[in-house]
Amino acid sequence: MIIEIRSHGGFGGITAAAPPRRIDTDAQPADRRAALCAAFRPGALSQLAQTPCPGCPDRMRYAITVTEDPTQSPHSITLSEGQLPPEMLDLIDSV
Amino acid sequence: MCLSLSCSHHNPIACIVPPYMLRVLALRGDPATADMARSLLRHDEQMRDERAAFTSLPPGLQGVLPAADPDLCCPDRRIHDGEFRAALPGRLVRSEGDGPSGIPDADMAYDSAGQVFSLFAEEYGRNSLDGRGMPLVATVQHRRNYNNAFWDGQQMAYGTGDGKIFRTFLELSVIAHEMAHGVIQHSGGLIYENQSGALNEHVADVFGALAQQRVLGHEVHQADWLVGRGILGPGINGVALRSMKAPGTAYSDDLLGTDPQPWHMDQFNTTTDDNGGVHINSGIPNHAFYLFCAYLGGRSWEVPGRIWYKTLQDINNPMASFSDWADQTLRAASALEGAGSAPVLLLRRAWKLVGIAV
Repeated sequence: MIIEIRSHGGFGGITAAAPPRRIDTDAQPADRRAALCAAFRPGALSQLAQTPCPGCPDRMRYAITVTEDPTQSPHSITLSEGQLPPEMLDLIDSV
Repeated sequence: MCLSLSCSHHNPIACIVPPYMLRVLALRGDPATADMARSLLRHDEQMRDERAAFTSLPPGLQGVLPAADPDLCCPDRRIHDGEFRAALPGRLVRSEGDGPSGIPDADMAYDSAGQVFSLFAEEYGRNSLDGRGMPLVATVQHRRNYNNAFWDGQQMAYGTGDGKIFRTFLELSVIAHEMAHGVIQHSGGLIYENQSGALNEHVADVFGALAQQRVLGHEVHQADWLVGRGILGPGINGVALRSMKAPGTAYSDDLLGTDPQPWHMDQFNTTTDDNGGVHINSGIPNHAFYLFCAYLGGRSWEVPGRIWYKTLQDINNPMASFSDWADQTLRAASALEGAGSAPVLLLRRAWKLVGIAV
């Protein structure tokens, strides 16, 4: 699985505040690969999109594109930082 | 116009109420109505391919002004250490009345929260962010190399910065900015997208700058009118994140690009990024506020601050446009200073100079 994350917004409102990330789960250790694949499964992301954003001022927004199978269309979604559980944010920060 | 076209459950509200009204209901309805509105908004958003459209306020907010609190006295600060993880609030390291924690960021957050509390309490009679003495909860060292600070609807959180683009977020104007988002939320709110979102950012910048000026004792011409002075990394070519005096000039850097803030409506930026450019177009009302203060002279947290605070309390329009806000500032100025007074005339001139006719 390839995970691409582009962020914008935040206090500064500048894109460069968080450089784009590209994560190839195959290049990750087994436990992290499993955690990433579970967290960034398109179904899981769609479910997160339904989470109310409790307060958006100055939160980052993450445009996430997940490619599970190169022969198929990637799945793209934009989520507010407030919609992502802390464990998932820690996972993003750890890569 | 019915934008919720796939009303499979035939909820009449879903078919009648357009999204912008649902956002107001989510913002101001009683808990049941707000829940329903949020549910319908989610449904509508899914249909529109998950385009961003969230309100800035948490559930249950009634949208009424808090009653004056006769017990207005002292802040109740609670500063937490996030220990570089994302879970909030983290480990409590300093409560009200405690001595320094030894964590510089935590102690800065504590001291600054007290200064911001004083601004609102002593100048505008407000008891904390909600007007009812709510605890001032903050988390420092939030996430790892995190280049951001925010208000999440209940508390403030500050990253440390990555040391390259940002060196810190513990700076008074930033802290006051985030706390002002809490005041905005508890004053009826301004929906965090497009012009109302830019007003949300603008009001937060105004009280961020005023908190800084009041602590320094700076009158208008002594003040730097910068938001986030000194927070950019050592290799970044810039002095701050935003300038209210000269929007568009805070930084110009190979990595960050050029400060995109306009100062006039002719340069209004139409974009879908950043919730519709809320951190960009706030430069226009920011500059109008600066001009008004410059015309008036003296301490900006006094007459101009009181006018802006009253405007926030009175506007009663979460989807306010720049024009709506400007009109309301004139009503507030007339009420506070008298119709036809110098502040009213100068305020009208300031709005006109940024291209907003009032």
